[in-house]
Amino acid sequence: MKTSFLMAILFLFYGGFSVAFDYGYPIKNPLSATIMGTPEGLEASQESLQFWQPDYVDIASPNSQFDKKIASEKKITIFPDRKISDVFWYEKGGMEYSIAKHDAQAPLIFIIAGTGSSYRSSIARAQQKIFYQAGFHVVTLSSPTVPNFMLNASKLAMPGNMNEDSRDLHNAMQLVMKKHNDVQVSDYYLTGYSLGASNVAYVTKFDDETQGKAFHFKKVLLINPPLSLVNSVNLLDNMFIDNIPGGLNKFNDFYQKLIHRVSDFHHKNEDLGLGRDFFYAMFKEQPPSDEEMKALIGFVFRIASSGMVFAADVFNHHGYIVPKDKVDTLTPSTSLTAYSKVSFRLGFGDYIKNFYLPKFEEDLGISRNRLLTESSLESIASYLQNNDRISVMLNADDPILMPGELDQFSVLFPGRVTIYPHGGHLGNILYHQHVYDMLAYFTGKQRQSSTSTFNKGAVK
Amino acid sequence: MNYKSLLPLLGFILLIFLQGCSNTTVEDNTTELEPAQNTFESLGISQDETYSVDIYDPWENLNRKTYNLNSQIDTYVLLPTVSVYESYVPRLLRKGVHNFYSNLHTVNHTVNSALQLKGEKTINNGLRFISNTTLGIAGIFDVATGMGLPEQQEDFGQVLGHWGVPAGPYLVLPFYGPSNLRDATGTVADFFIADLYIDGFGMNGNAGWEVVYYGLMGVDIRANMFFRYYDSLTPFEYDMIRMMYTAQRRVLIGK
Repeated sequence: MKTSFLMAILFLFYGGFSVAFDYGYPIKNPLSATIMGTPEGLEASQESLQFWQPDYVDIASPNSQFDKKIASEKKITIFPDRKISDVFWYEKGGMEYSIAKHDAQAPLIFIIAGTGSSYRSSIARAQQKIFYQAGFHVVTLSSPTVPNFMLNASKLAMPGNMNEDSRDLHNAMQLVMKKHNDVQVSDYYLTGYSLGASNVAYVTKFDDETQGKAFHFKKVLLINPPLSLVNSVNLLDNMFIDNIPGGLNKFNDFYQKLIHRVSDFHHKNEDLGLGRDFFYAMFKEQPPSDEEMKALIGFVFRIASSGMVFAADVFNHHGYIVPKDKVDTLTPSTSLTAYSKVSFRLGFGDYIKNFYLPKFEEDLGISRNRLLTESSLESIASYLQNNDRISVMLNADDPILMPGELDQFSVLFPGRVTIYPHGGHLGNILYHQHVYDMLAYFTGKQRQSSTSTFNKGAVK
Repeated sequence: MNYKSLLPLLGFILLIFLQGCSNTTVEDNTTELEPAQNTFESLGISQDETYSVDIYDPWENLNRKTYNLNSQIDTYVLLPTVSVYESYVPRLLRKGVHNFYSNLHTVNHTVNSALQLKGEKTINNGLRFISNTTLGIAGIFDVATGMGLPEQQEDFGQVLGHWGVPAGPYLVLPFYGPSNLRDATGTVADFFIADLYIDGFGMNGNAGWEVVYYGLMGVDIRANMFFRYYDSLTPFEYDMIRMMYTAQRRVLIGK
């Protein structure tokens, strides 16, 4: 008896210990982690996840000769009378999502993707596969910042308002489940990453306040959320603007130099081809500076946000980028190059300030200050503090958090925060330990051989 | 020699020239409209400067139409075919098919390496072809990679680029996707080179065989590509692809 008690103490101690010292995610630079993600071989293998796999799960073994799709991609019409501009012809036909279902009664989890990511982004698909193997039916949804969602599932098609976005998401989730009423669901669960994680918090709150058509989520997990949408968006905007030498007007010089460098490296390493191996090798042998990596992260974010702003403008005939009277003349083959240049110059921050805030103020009569306050999780602090079904996973070095913001999470989610010492923004989301912790949280089943770090206390 | 397989491609190139001649002016009546909140002027974007997204594309209208057509072909023909292929053909056999085609393409890679006087690459590709054709049983097994002879692609567009032929206007080819006048010419030339070994199979003039050969090749190529149309989530996908294709070719050609 005594020994087992001692063992338990040791185990606890060891568990707490491991957060700081045994965390094996190898990329220590948060910017590199954000760009590179989890290196090959360090993800959770299908074999290692068998611990969570119930009998009813029917998936092909990795050695199988035949590809067996677990999920099917679907479309659903949410607003039957909605007219979508011809320039978005490929978004007509409904909101896209994917569903992976079992032929048995099982829990169902929704996954909400992050800013500018779709229901079939690589992270969403990887998570779908993981949860499916662990016995969940899985529905993945695009971020409300993605044109397909905006045009098909959003009432206002002006993303950024947490309350509106969560209402849209909740509505879409309801309709998806109505369409798939043959799926035998025991309980509902919810998760999301990046901005999708913030969405998740508000969707849960909205669900709790909904009469009748509620999911009553059993457990909810936020992975790498921003604390304040506006703050994180400004950080990402600035990563781009501040790290292009000479400013955005000189972007082409930056771009040409980059191609030149890639070209030089390729010339010396022609045998690598131009795939993943090539870029890993180049990243290793000619590591980019922090400034260059920030520019790159900001660039990717800018591509996503510029498309979002263009879609919001076209849908609302707002005259922000496209002259109001010109919108209806756009066709599937109209050149958008000039608009792309304008959109590319305008950040998410510009959109918030000069499009979203004035429009919401005008249309809904909500003051700018209130709108800005509501973009932070702190605005629903009392709800989050008292709701122990919601937990959060963070990285101490997440570049989308402002100094001091990390500490605020422990106030908002007392005892429900897990902080990994490094991983950047989403860099470690598919790292095996992260995946094991996530599954342990949702299923309540702890893998014996692994040292779980979940909720063993925050590391600072 | 059999030129039938080239006819659609040649016809298409002719079509663009005609389109290019007949439709050079783009109607623009923006001046009469209330300008947008953000314009070139308000953001300091110059009409004359070349930005990274500016690629010479005089046939843009037709190119955009072809791009959209390709996305339809992809959605309704190619992807469903690939899906059936992956569900019913065992992985090992698919791998064999892939290796078989790759091996034949190695002939093109060898010729094109030689035409650029890239000695090492020519030898690599030549030896690769010989070992895979013999030891690898007609190329079905890739034994060469394990022997230190990796795949090193070189197409005829690269040959032209190597000898200083400029990219020319951007071009979206039906089925093929992004290209430019130089690389499309290269694609035609690569077909001629391929005709040499296809003739060797005695397929010459047998339309049925050619459909099977090129059909399966198309399915194999598509099955090994991750690209999805309108998956980039930006309405400026055409512009992005045009920019990336041009950059990629510059890197490959090294000029």
